[in-house]
Amino acid sequence: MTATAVRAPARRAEKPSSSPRRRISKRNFFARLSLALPAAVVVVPLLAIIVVQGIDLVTHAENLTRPGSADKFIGWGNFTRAFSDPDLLGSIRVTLTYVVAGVGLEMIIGVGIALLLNGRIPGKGVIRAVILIPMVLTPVVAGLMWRLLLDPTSGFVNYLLGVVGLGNDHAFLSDPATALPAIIMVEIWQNTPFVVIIVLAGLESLDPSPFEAAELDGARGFGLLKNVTLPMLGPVLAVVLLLRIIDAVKTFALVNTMTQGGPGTSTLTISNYVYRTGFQTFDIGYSTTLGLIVSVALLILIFPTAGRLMGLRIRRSRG
Amino acid sequence: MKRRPAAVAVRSIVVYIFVLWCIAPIIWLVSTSLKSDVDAFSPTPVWFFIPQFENYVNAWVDGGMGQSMLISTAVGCASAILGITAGLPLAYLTTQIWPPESTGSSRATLAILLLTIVPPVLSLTPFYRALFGVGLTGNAFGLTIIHTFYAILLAVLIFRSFLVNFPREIREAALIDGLGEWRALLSTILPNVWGAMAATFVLALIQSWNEFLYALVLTNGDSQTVPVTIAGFLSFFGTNWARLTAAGVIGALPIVIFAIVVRKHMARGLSFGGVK
Amino acid sequence: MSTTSKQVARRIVAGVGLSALSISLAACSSTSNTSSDSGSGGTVHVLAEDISYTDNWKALLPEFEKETGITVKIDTVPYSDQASKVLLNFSQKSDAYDVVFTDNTYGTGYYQSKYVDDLTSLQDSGKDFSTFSDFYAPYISPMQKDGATFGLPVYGESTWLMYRKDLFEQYGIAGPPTTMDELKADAAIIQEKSGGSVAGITLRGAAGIQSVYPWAGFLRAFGGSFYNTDGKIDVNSPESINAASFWSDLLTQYGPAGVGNFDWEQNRIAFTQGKAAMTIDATANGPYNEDTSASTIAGKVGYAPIPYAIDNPPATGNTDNSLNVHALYLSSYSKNKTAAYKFMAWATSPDVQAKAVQAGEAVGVTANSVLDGPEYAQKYGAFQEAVLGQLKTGNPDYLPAGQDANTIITAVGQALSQTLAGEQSADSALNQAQKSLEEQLPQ
Repeated sequence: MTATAVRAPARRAEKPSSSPRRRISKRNFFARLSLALPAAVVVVPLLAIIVVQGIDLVTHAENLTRPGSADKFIGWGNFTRAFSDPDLLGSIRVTLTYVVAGVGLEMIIGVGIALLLNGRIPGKGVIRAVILIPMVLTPVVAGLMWRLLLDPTSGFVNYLLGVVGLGNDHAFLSDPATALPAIIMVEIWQNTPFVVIIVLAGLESLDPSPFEAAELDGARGFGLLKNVTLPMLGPVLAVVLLLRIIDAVKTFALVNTMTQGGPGTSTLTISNYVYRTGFQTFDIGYSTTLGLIVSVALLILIFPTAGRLMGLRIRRSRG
Repeated sequence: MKRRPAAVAVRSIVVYIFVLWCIAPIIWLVSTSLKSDVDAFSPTPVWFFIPQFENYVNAWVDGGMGQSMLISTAVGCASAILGITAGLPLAYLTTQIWPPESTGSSRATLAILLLTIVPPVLSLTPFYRALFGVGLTGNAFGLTIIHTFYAILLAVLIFRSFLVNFPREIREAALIDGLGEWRALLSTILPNVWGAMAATFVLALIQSWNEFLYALVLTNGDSQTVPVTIAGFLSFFGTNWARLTAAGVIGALPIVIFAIVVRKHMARGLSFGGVK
Repeated sequence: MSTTSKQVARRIVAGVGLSALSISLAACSSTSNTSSDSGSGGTVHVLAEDISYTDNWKALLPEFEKETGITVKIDTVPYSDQASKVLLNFSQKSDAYDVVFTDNTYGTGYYQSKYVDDLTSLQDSGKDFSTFSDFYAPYISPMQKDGATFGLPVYGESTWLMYRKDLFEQYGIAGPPTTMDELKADAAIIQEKSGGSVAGITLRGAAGIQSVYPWAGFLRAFGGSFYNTDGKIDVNSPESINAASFWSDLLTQYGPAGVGNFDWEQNRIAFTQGKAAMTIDATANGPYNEDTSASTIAGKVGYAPIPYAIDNPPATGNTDNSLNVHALYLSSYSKNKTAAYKFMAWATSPDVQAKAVQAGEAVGVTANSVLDGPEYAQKYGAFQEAVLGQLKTGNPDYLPAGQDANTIITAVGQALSQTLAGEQSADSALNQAQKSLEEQLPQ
């Protein structure tokens, strides 16, 4: 623990990491440690479990249908298998499409609606309450609901398309060309309100003076948006984007209830593939390996940005 | 700023279309839950029908939704409260005692963030085995532990965001007055974070309520939570869609109401402090 | 590491980590009302499918509990997640479930893995309710191997061709197709002459067991099998590729919209709503076709054996109709085996089965006396003969069974779905499946 005591108000201006280390009384040290204790009691054992069990699982060829397979040590075997697995590659591609298209459109639509909402609109309070509903709806329910809505024979979406003359028997979820777009649409339906709510709150908390200055300079409309509003919103947008990406990368329930990854493998995301390997073919060692590879890749990709976006500093220092 | 009425009207219309897009599927869900199974599956929508409230009775009693709601409430409340209890002191430690910009604080927070990125499919089997080893599967206790784990991650990040700009002098003054860290936390910080606490509680509750994967594997029969029970209505031989949609409405109602009640604090909680 | 030392290591990790937690949790939470039951004290835990037969047991259980003093708890979980739940429990030697209710594709694997017990020695303790000889022989045979009987059948089925007699007559088709070429030609005639308003044929197209189950009939019809003559996995044989591309072409050209996602229920609805003129599926569909309250085609359906593509179809052995049985299996880790067996014998007894026929949908009942009884004949007379005929020739090895069954079904199911979706040709999809299976399965 390298806690730096800053006790007297006079010391406050000092940079904590550069201040000389102080002796902390034992009592004080334990008092501080005890603050971390409740969280540590839950988090540390569970982490230990993931690590110990995880190492055990990824180095063995365990399959639940075969008793005794848990003792079959295969070293890096699961990893070499993963690197030549076409389904893993396919699922990475599906997940990337899902995240880029889904989160991208959520951001564009969400920011647009938030900008429109940031002003005088009748019924604003009600609107803010109502758009929360898709966001908090249980994903299992959302997936099932949209599966029914998109049904080729009795789905309401097909009825509407029929009414406007676009044909009423589209089988969105069984055509590989439309299945993934349909699921992405549900992702957008469910999570755009998240973007709207946070960006709107961000807009409302912006300091009004730069806007006034810019308006005096004659900036308006799109120019104002591009040169003043969006730059000022930058940090908020970054956090929203990060949180949406973290969530979308892990998507499971929507695909599981709507298509189970089909048709073919056209909607098989990483989480669904890992789940299928572990809990439908019971290849539990390999499934854990896939989960580990994906987690590590995600951490490498997301982590450095995540720290910066959250206003954290990762500094190398002697511990 | 002057706005022309026409501009307001255009803006309003675009926003209303968005709201309609958000809410129309929900209205459809509720209306389907009140239809008979035959009407629910009709290729052309049945606009007028006599509400079939027995779908709800059916889901609640025969479908076991009543029992599941109790379990979900217990697991959700217990894990949210435990998560807050464990998360607040840690957030206090990493913002008030250690300055938020210090290495220790950043590392602790990054570690927490790291854990939220790990997909649940990775930890499912390890957790199942460990909990099974000590008899905590097949009942709601093991699930509560896992949901508490995720509630702590959420609570630390939210409280941190609320406390990061909280003046540290207040704690220091309290310490000078001879209070210990815990008393300082309770007397100076606690009264200022009720809003954050409400947001954390509701977000942790929603997270627990909607969680499917662990709930499916860790619970049995009497201890099944709402999403597992709803998914259980999807049987191989014929799904009763009216009952399923009724269960969906019942299951979603409490969290929708909660979310609307505390919506003022949601934006800040949801963005982990991205919005002040 | 030996199994025991490994188990110990796991327990230590779990114990150290969790004992503190569980104590604090138990102190904080008095809300949850369940605790794990060791299965002792006359309580039998059953993991069941959510189906009419289970509803029937639940209704009749009070009698059984009163008579025997045994308490029975029945859990149901989503069908698609049942196997993972069972296996997680079995692999930890858990006694959480004494009895599991599942189909013979899984059950045979459980027996191979010694997760479920031979019931022979327990037969006497349940003889007041039923004995092995009460069952229709084809229904209990999939659970019998080398003198052992490891499951009691609850319901079973075969597969057959269902076709619309009225449409066949209207469009001048003489009778049900007897070869696969005729089947395709008939589908074409119907599609064409109805102007596309009725699809030629509908089948389950969804990935996994859904499509593999009916497709295995096509595989056999083309003379193929999942294994070669040495018993090695062989899903990319020429027969298999022919069957997959025939199946895929058939559905692409003459199938209804959305067939690629059809599961059992959607396929049944498409047929009973008159959207397709033929389907190949389970004998359990019969009652749904003839149910006048939900079906628009009641009384218009003909039932026939599944056509062959090869010249010399086997009369028995590798036939192209299934024999699929869902049975009760006794967990080897149960601490209450006698009570558990009593429940199994009661739940599959002729009395209980007779009541299932009275109470609800129960065309698959397995007791001889019920199948021959007047109530069954009255309820299912329209197709009773055809059902029993299909069962007699039903192929107990129709699907892969045993430990590797699910891996094979998943791989082949994915290949079929990819072929149908046009992502790959049947040839390359099945080659990929074969390669993946060779990697996954111990040879």
